[in-house]
Amino acid sequence: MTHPADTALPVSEAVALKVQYQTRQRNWRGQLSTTTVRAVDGIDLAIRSGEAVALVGESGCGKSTLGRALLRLEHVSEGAVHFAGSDLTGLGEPMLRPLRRNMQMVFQDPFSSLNPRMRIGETLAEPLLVHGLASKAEARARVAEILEIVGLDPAVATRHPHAFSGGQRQRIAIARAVIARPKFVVADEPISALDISVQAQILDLFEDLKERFALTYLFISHDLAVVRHIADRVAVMYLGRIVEEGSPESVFDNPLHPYTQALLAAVPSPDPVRERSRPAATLQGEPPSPAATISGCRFRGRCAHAMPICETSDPALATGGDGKQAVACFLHHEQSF
Amino acid sequence: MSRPLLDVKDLDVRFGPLHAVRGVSFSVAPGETLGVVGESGSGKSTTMLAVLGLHPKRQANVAADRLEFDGEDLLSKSDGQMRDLRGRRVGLIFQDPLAALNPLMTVGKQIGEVLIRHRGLDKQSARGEAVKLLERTGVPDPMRRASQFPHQFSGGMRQRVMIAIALAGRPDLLIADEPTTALDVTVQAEIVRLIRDIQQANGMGLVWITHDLALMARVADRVMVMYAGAVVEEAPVDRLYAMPRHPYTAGLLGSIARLDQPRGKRARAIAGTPPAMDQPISGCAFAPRCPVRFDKCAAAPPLVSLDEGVRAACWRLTGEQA
Amino acid sequence: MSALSSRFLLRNSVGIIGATIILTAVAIAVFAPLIAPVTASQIDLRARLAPPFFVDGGSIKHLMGTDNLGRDIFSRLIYGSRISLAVGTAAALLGAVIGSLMGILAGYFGGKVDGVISWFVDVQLAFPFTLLAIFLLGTLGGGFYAVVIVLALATWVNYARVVRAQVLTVKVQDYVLAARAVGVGTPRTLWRYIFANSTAPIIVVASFSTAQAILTQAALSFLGVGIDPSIPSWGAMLNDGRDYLQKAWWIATFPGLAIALTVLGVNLFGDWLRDRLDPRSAR
Repeated sequence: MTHPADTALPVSEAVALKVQYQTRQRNWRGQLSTTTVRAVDGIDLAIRSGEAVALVGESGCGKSTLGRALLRLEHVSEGAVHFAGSDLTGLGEPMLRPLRRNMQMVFQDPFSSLNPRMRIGETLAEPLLVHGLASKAEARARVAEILEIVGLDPAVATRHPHAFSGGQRQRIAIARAVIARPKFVVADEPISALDISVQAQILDLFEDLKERFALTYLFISHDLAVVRHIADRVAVMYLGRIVEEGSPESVFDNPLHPYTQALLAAVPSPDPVRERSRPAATLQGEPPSPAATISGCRFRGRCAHAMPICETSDPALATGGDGKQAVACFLHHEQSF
Repeated sequence: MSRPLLDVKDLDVRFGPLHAVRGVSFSVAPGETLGVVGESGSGKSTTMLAVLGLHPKRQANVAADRLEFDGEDLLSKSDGQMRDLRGRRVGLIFQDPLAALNPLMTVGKQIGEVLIRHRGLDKQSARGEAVKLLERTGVPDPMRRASQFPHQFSGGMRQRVMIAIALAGRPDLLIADEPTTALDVTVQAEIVRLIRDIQQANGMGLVWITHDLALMARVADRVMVMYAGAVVEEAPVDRLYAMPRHPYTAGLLGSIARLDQPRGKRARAIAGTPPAMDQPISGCAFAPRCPVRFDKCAAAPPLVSLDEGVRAACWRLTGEQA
Repeated sequence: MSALSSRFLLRNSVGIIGATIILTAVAIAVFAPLIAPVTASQIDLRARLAPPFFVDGGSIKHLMGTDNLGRDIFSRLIYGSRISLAVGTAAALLGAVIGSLMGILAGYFGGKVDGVISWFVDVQLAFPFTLLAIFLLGTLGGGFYAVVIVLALATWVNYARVVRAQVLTVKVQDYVLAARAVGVGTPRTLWRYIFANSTAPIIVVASFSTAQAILTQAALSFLGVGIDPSIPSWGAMLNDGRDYLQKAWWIATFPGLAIALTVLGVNLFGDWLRDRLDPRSAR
């Protein structure tokens, strides 16, 4: 992989990261059973300064958990999370709090991510005031400025969230995430709850902000078409693991992992002629539960190319193809066995 | 062309001050798929629910010049007759199958109920037929699944159950309201294929409501684009995507992200938001957001036929010559 | 009158009736000296046990008759509203402060904190409250403040339970996680994000708790513990009339009716408030 920022220290990094949940259940006879849900199951991912990395995958694959874990809004079961050179893994909330000004988040549902009892101006000033970055008067000016940048009238600062549409709320949520000029932003499905014409508007906003603030961000989405248009690098997740990673061109035009191929084959395109000539989708069934124990490759149950080795060994993410992308599939790393 | 299955002229739906559907006309032929696309509040679902008589009479004021299904006037039908029609001749699938299924009844029983009521089957044969329907909609191990409850099914499997229920009365028309919006793309692809296969096998008419323009290209024969409670454009699917006429359609198609286009090829989004539907709209509803508006847009443009099968409501397409 | 406003009256009739009763009671308490014909403690031994005006032997002079010392029931009822309403309101407010705090702590922190607080709630609910009140008033001594504190202890449980439940739903909202992501500290999160969004049920419980406190205060006075019986309160009057139920039913009946009517008013208002504030209780 060649990337201009390859040499720089990653802004955010997951090292062999695992996030697991224990759920205890009693059956009707009162016997206690513990299930372990492996939401994130061994992930290495480094996001470098100025990069927009997209994380794609279907619901339940663990992409949101990974995003929150990078910000230490989730516990870490195994492995480590680094941010701008410091290890966040073992830090408690009081130690994390001062670091939070530099890492922010945009949530999927703008109807639940803004405090209904706070005025827009208060919500936006929060990051500045909590971290002592501005006086109240300065904060007011910064709020007016950021509202203008995200395309809203600065006068709306005195109003409450219920007065706004979904698209406007998402602009406010994005403004909150960038007002303190963070080094890193995680955007978790930030457009999927919005209407089509508004989705396009918010995508425009992300592109504007990236240019304006040289933003580094992780964009989590299930929509591959959107990802293609905003990402510098793409990581495809399946059942808690990254199965393929590379530039959008390499991953989308030359997908190596059978899952990426199936996923891309299923995405409709707004072109009826092309749609008619599309081969029938190849992927059958649904992903196993993240609570199930799987030996070997986690995709093999749905894979058309499953081989004997896939049952016994778990493929690691390794450079495959012509060296432009990394893939976790034995079809592409013959060198490893 | 033979007589249309569903024929609607000048449909109006009001909920008190909210004028949700404003003079919508369309028709669906047997074996044809009409796609209805629009944003939330565009009136696309409200239109179809009104056709089916599903708005509570106390709240909704539904009026139309013509509202016919297979030649029968629907406006003069009683609630009981409409209920009969919905179970037997028109099937319905929603976005959220969990909300539409009874959580306390096995899936087999729920399908069986429709069969007993609308096809007059007895309990024994209804059970067998329910299993057959599940099998036909691609539910694996249908015998065992029929005796399970909705919560034991995944999202995709639940939608298959909903389709089985909708098909139980052997409908002539299926109305699918965002049936795949809550599903993952790979599951969506399977459900789309399933519905299209069934349609080809039994020749029923299909109305597919979605906000997803890419999906629409896959499913529809003819597409109707709605904006602010009215139809702004209607065209055969190939024409609509090859040459969108209305500025709204063109703006949407240009600004959505496409997988088959590299980064940087996407146009800027249409600015602004749709108008509030509880206010009267004067002139063209899209004019405030329209990049090509001109003085004529102060009057509402009529929906006019441009060429074979294409209708659009825009003064730019008709007004300059007139 | 427009159709809209008559529809408003019809839809909110329960709340309007409740509010009217409450406002009337408050007005009576505030303007007691202006309304009452005589003072509450004026004794007229010649007119002992006079019946109300609508009974044979009654007179307009004592609308609701007199008690065993010849004191005017109507006037005592008017002055008595002061103690009853003050105790009810103060106890409900103090209970709200204690209960909300406990509910927030239990709901937000969960675990051991929740365990301890919930244990207290369960114990109190299982323990006969009157017994506890008599014991506490016995040790604390009587008086207005003691009664308020004891009644607050009776009502805090109501608040703690609903606030805890509300906090459990609020704390998983994205905006609380967003506050954490922004770096907002715990006290501010609790106050501006959790508490600010949990107030709706507090107001509703407050109305019911006020009613409960008025009733309990009456019961305590009836049992002879609590506020000095020479100060007129509805509960004390009920107690006074106990021995005369056969001979002079009016001594106990009128304060009883006053309590019932006020509690009804508060409950009606609370009912209406709950329907208006809590979308989940929408029918």
